[in-house]
Amino acid sequence: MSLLGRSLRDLWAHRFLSAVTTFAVAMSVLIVGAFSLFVVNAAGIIQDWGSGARIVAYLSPGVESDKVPLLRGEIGRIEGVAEVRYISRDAAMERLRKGMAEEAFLLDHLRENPLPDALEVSLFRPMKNWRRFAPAAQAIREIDGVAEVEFGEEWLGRFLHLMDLFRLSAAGMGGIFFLAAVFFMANTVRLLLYARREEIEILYLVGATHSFIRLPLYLQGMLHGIIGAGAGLGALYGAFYLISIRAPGVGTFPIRFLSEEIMGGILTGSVLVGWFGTYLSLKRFHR
Amino acid sequence: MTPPEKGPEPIIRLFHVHKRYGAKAALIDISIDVFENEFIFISGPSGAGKSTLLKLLYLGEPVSEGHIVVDGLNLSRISRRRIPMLRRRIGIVFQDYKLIPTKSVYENVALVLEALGTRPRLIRKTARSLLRRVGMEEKAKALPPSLSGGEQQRAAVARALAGNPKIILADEPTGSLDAEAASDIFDLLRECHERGATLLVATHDTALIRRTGGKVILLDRGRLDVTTTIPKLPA
Ligand SMILES: Nc1ncnc2c1ncn2[C@@H]1O[C@H](COP(=O)(O)OP(=O)(O)OP(=O)(O)O)[C@@H](O)[C@H]1O
Ligand SMILES: [Mg+2]
Repeated sequence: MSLLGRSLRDLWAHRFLSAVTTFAVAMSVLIVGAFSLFVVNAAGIIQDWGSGARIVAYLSPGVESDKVPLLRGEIGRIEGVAEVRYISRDAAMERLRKGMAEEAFLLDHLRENPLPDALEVSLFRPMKNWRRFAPAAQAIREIDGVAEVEFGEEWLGRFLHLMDLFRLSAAGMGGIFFLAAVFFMANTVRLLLYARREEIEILYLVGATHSFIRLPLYLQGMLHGIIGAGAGLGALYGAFYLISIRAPGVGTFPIRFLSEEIMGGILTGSVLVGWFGTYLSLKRFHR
Repeated sequence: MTPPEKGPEPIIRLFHVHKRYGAKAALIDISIDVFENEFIFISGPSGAGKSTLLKLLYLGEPVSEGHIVVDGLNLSRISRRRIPMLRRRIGIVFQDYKLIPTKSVYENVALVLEALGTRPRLIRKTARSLLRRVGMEEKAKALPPSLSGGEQQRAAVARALAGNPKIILADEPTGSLDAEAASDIFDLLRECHERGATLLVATHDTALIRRTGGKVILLDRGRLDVTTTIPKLPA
């Protein structure tokens, strides 16, 4: 009988233990996967907030709109500047109205638009280059026709600090989860083989070779890994789907499932852990 | 013309073998030569070392002192990789049967053949005929824990013979059987002997020995007491 055939027959013969093992792998993958899913999306959401960081340059009241292209060009030449958008005072008022929604009627009493024209300046990769905000803002402030410059330097700094903290703790917790999952999976596989030790010992006594005994066990360990990981990821996707139809995104950030790389990593990792658990327990049967 | 007569080769040799379990000496200074196609009984009271002697031959236990050669393989020097080669030449009926509890009687027998790389059709044929021979064909699908001691013993005999081994080590192969079943199993072992196998049978069933006759190695508290040949009783 072929190796795969023999492995599957054995899997079936030990279906209860196999199911328990597969379930253990699935639970581990589910927990690690849920954590990764949370981290990936939280990081995405935070990034999304952060990438909204802009410098707003308010123009002096006397500046005519035909001078705007000139100003835009000048600001555009400053190092790190990615985009300069003109927000006219009317457009700003419109935004304000939208933002106030219900209370927008309050604005109806204004006789004249009190808002200044403004230029919204975004930088390349604001999260990475947040140190450029201050010099860029300074350079913009010195341009003729710019009345005032506003950006949340302090806020950005604190925000980035928070982001680092988040990354660090996510990595730390992820590491612990990962190790716990590996340990748990490897031990379940060991337990399975421990339950079968009598059979393995007898096979050795009747003259079966190492490979005859071990190859199917390794294959089964890896099958437990991949089937369990597939089930765990499937369950995680189900949960994700249920959440995502209710809350498709946060801000402009659409929540997303684990990337193919991460899923591939989890599947490969589980197969390796299945192999490793088998290896650990077979080291004891060496006769 | 017949070729010049060569002296028969010992297939199993023990040189001054000692076996200790911790401080307890189970075998003391045993030297034996077993020749090809001999049928030897190992007898002696309980605890004499019969099972231990057989275990040393298939490396179920390592010797403490001395040397053993089985079918040209020096057991003191054999590498792990070659142990299966040794065990494939030996069919073993264990005193405690050692059937795989989660596999059916049929599977237990078939597995040995599978491990030897036998073709599936031959596996089916051989396993079925052996189970028929030991009277276990109706229990082929049963799991060992659901069988009586005698039934397990018969299944164990069938498994030991499955690979058509050159050497058969049987540890109390009839210990759990009634007289009739015991003599059936004995007939089977004798058939193997007639086909050329070498047999070592541990038993304290002296009635059976007397009925069969043959060479007897008598152990007493780990020592080789006597080696005698008991003539077959006239029927
Ligand atoms: N694994 C072991 N550890 C310690 N002592 C052992 C072990 N196996 C056997 N012995 C001891 O070695 C001696 C010989 O045991 P063995 O099983 O060879 O006897 P036996 O002749 O087969 O007896 P029986 O007829 O009851 O099967 C006994 O005193 C036994 O207690
Ligand atoms: Mg014994």
